[in-house]
Amino acid sequence: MADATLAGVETPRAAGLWADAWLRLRRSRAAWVAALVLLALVLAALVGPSFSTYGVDQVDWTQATLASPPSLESDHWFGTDANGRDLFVRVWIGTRMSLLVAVLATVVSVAVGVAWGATAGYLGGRIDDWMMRFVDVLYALPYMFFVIILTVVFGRSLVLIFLAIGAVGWLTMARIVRGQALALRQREFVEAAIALGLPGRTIIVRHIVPNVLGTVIVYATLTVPQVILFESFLSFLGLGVQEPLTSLGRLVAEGALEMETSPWLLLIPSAVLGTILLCLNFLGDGLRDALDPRQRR
Amino acid sequence: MSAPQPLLQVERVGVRYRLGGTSWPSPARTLDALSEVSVEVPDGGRLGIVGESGSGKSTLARVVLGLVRAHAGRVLWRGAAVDYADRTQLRALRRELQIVFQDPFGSLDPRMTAGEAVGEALHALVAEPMSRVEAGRRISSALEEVGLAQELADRYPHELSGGQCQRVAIARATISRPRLLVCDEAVSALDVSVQAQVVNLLRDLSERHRMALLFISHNLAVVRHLCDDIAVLCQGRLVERGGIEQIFGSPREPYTQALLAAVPEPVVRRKGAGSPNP
Amino acid sequence: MTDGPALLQVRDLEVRFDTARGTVQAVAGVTLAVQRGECVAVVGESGSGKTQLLLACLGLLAQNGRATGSVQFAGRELAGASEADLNAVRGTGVALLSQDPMSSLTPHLRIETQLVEGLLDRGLATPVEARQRALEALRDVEIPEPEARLRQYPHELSGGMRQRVALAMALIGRPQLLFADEPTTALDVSVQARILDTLARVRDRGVGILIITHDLGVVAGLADRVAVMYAGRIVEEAPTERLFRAPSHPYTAALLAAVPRLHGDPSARLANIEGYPPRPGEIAVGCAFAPRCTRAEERCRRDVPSLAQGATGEAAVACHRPLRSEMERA
Repeated sequence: MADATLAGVETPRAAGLWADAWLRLRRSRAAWVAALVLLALVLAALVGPSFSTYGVDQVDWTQATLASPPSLESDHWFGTDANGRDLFVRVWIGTRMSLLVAVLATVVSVAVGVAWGATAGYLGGRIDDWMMRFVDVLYALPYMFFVIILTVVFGRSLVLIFLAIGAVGWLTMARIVRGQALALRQREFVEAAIALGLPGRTIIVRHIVPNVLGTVIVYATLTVPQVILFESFLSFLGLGVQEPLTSLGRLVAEGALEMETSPWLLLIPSAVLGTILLCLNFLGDGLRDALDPRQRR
Repeated sequence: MSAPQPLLQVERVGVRYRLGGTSWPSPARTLDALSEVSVEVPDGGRLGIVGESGSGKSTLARVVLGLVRAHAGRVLWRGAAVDYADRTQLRALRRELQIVFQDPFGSLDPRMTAGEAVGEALHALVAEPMSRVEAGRRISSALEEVGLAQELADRYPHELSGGQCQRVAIARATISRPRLLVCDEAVSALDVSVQAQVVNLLRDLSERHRMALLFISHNLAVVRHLCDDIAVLCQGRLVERGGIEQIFGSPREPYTQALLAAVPEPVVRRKGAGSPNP
Repeated sequence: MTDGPALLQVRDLEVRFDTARGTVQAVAGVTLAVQRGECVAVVGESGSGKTQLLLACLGLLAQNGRATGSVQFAGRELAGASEADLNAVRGTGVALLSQDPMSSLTPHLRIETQLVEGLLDRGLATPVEARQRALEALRDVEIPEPEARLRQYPHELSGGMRQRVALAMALIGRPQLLFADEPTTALDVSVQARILDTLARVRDRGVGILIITHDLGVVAGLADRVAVMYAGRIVEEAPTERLFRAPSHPYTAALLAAVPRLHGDPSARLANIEGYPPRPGEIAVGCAFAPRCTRAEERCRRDVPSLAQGATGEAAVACHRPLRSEMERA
């Protein structure tokens, strides 16, 4: 990205920094394994349900009990839930939903937060004051209330959930980025760029944003789990994903109710959720190190 | 004004800083970093600005570059007042007026290689369109001129030594052949042997291209080796101005005398010392 | 020189760092002594290993650093000593004055609290005595109005004043040996001169000082002996006056010539040393200075010269072709 904007300049190692980062990421075993596991889970979420003969809301009346334990003979590899629905299908549908919410909401919060924070931090002074006061005001609003109002006004929809969660997430991101940008603003390389007569937008894109990316990525990987949990909380209130669709958060919440009689209802979705969160953390660490040019060679 | 027009004139410039971040609702406290400072640099001349930290010497450099806004006075370039709000004028000025900062590592973006940093300056400052090959050639020759080997172009700042970083910063600042190079403590953070190299480099560049220097430093001995004239700043005010001979031979102000007396020299101090070593 | 063991005796000190790129040797076989009331300066450019030498003496190397060799303080071995033993020596036996007066003081504590905490923690003084000692220490480093200073916070003081407070903190435990790491680098020249005067008085009272610096000018007024370091080794060691008058190692001579002066021809070019110092970890065969040395010959590129005592025994140089006559030094 940063390199691409230098169009026309003879850069002997074209995509240097990013190619290097890719190499370093591949060399970090934890991050690499985490990425592979994550990829496998995404694949499973995409194609898993089509391997089963059951639908996501299909109740299997043939079983002796509604909540039947996992077994290989019955086609219910993960068992069925309290309503007799196939858990294998529901887990992957839920994973699909959770990942979708998490990724989209995180993208929204990173995009808005980085743009807002970097601009405020770079410009500084009065504009910074006003931009950050705006963030403070939004912080002060009880966001649950905010989400409820949104759903009441616009009706329930998946898109709205992404937007609502992203709209809350960018505030913290903006604060973090703004702090870093303020510090970078004082650095002499930014002053040198100003002295070269580069426009503010170019300086933000080329010099500020690439230097806050490490922090942003780590924070973003921490945002994803928060978003997944927040979504399950919304769903619990009846404001999130609606039946018969489901999400990992919902499955865990439902499983917790049946914990004593049907432990697999809790254990299986929890294991998937836990694996996703763990992988994201490893991947985040690996990315941060990989993107730091000081780690080169 | 006398016959030869000075390249740069700073006339009675004052800079006031607002202290503390958000001041509202109480009125902001202010600090006068510079008051009524006037200096001038002739075309091809070398002016040294000396003073201790807090004397306002770095602020002066930033005013000239338009990085800091002066609340009083004005800056003249070739006799015409500079309007720092006029973007077209400012862009033209920046081709002729560049700066090298103190911190060799801090003045380069850690995520850009030496070649990219110089290339960025080339594209920002040199308006004429050029092919990639031509750009690459100019970057190489700029690096070569400051004494950097071609293979260093692919290195990131942390892979270079302090002296090499400072050379990259000089290459970046001089690629548009500026008429005046402002050096803000440009050699202070360097090791002695490297400092001498960079001082000599700046002098060579200045002589070869008839490039004027505004050299800011707290080290009088360095200034003496590089400049023709010296201005001494103390707490935001100009206390003494003069040629090298006069300032070092017969400084008038007690402040200047004190600065001179404090310069640490590797000379064994005994009775009758003060004679130059080897 | 006094009888008995030297205040600080460093023998064959080596410092290595384990990094992702393999082992990096920062200090290679340094031997050095500091007597009571003597100031020894270790001069070197960045990357010469001078700071790691000092940290190794204090047992403060980074996690991935390993020191071998011997560091004896008043006859007591510090190398490999336990953290408890080291703490017993730190503060009261040896003290450290670091480079940055901004970061060596805790911003949220009053000067008094910072000065006395070492004494109180070790039970060396009652609160009343400690306050008295704090006042004494501040007077000792020539801080005006010491009573008022005790109540202030670090940000209320100027850089020079902060460095004086840091010096008072180092001296309050009445150490016998003071390590000073570039104590004046961050300061203005005029402030620098006064700190150096204060350090000279501390030395005259019998405290040994090991000062690390890159500035030969700083050494001039203070040090009794100078050890010049290059690429992890001491290349020359001599009494200050002799080193300045008659440097034997080409590096020392070149370094002296590179310092800009207030006297002499201002239009003359500064003498510079071509090239750059090797980075730590660059493996050099032979003398590390050979690639930049104008006098280097075949042997210099092959064999590492050892630090050899001169005829008088007071100076030592590690060079195959040391400068001998005034002619050569010009």
